[in-house]
Amino acid sequence: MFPVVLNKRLNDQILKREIAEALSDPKIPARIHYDEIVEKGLDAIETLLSSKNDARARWISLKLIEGDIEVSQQISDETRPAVEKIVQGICKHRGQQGTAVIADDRFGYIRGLLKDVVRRRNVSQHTFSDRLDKITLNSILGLPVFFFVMYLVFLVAVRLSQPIIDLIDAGFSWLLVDGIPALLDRALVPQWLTFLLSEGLGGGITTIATFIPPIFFIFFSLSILEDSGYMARAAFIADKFMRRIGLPGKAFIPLLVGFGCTVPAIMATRTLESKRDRVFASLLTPFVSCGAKLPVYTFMGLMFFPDKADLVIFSLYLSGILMAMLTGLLLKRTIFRTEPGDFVMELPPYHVPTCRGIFLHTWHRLKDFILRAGKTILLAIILINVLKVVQIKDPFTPGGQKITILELGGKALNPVFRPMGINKDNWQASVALVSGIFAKEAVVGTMQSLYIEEGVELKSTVTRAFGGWEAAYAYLLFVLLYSPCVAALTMLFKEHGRTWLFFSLIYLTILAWLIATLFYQISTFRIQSLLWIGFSALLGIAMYQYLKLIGRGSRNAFE
Amino acid sequence: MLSNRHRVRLRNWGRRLTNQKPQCRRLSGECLSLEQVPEGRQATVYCNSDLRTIERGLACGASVYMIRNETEEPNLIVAVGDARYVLDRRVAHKIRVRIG
Repeated sequence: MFPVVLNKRLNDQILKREIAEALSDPKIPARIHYDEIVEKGLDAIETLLSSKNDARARWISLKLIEGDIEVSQQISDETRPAVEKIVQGICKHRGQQGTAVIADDRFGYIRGLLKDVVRRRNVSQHTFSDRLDKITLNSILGLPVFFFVMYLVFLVAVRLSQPIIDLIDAGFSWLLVDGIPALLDRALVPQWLTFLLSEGLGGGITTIATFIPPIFFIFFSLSILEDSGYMARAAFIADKFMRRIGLPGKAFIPLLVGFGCTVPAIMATRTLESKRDRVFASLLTPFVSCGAKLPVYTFMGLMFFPDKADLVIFSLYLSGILMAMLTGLLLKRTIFRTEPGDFVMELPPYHVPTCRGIFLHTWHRLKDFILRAGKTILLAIILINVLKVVQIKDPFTPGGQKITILELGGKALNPVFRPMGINKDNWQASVALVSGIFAKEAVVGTMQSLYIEEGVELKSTVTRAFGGWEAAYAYLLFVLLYSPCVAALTMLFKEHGRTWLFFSLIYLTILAWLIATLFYQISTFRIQSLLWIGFSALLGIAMYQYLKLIGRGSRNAFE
Repeated sequence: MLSNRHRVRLRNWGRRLTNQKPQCRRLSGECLSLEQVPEGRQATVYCNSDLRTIERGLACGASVYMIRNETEEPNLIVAVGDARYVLDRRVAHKIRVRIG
């Protein structure tokens, strides 16, 4: 016996020596004695095969009973019917599949062996974990405990990261945005290059650096929860609700992965057994706010709700979960009308997480974010800064004044977003939403580049452009719900095909517009709001009818 | 007045408040599916053809302790040795056990 804990450092030299010793001088007999009927069957198959493979005959016979395809292809056509007859006899006698027969006997052998060699003292049926589970898995208390724990995660992330963000922002701005231009001016570098290096590259790096603290604290808290064993309990608590929306509890894990990034979340749906569950869970993963959306929430939250930013961010995360549940109910009634797959999961005992394990998990996720998001934000900021400078004639004004390409694109898109509170002059917000399709992190980068005015604080420019908190919150709701980024869409295409890619893209964008418009029109109610509320309701009904229509066509695909 | 569904719900709430076990009493040696084993009872597996649960230790002859089995919930929690498993009621229904 060699005890191994995977999140602790392993002394591989000792492990290798132990393996070598065990191989050279085996302490236990290598042969497992199966059930009598299985042993007879094994003997019969060995006799049939003995002329060809003497040494490996028992192993091959076992594999044939287990129904191994590769091994069964290796035996001759003459012996195959006889082997199949023996295997069928064993399965009929035991009332189990061949694989279950062999597994059952092996585990029986292991259990017997353990009984013989392991002696335990003070074995209590109720461990510390069981006693704690009485509270955390309680049918009444379990859910409030879960929400409280998740709220703590966001509270820690926002409150602890705020002073670090200020420090990083001040330090990086002093060095990269103010320091570099002064140095380059002295070196007589052209002005456009100074602008690109300071505002584009320097500003971009400063933006990325300010995102790191909240994301670090979120990943850090989630790693603690995972390593302590609470996450599996959260899946159990969520299962009741997952069932109601037509998914098995296991689908909660990919949704949790979605807090980091939607791409691995879609990949994590591979653990689900049925195709129906995989597609369904993949469609719900974009509702979970990924790490890339957090900078947008933090940026806007701290500007419009400085004292209650943590609550606003938490409410957005909850809104995402709520919308996932509503969408789940809708899809369960329309497209995915069959039963979800079954749920089998281990509840690990609670334990104190190791520092190494937590920091290793946090570092892997943070590194992934910095490398992937960092590159995207930087590229977006540089591109936007270039497009901000290139000017063309404005086709919307009679005088034909020259405006930038970005301004023109933003103005062209602006009417679509006006019902959700984006003013006529706030074209920057529309451009930021388009850049967000490439990567959600780019929304903040774009906003920072476009709202910047010389001598005016960024906060006052953004608050003036949005007008009020209602428009800002509606905008955040749109960012939360609209089309996933290009990487997530690509993954959706790879896993489930073109149909579900377009479905996700169109459904989520319409839903985001509906929710953001409804929120804005209700929170700033005027007479003309009735028109938009009515239009949104009609659009919602049309969507439901269309989903029902799709459901009729795809029903057989999941049965 | 109340539909049957709501009557069952009310009864279950009452049971939960008064800490009554919702399942019927089970006698030692009785054979039933794992899903029907009441909370706090020990059972021995005598037939299981589901490979996933066999691989988790619920093989024939294994001793199982029912930690949580609330009829309203879709899952139950069992202890097999030191391990704790959440099992779907549909999976548990297929596992035959003997009480005691």
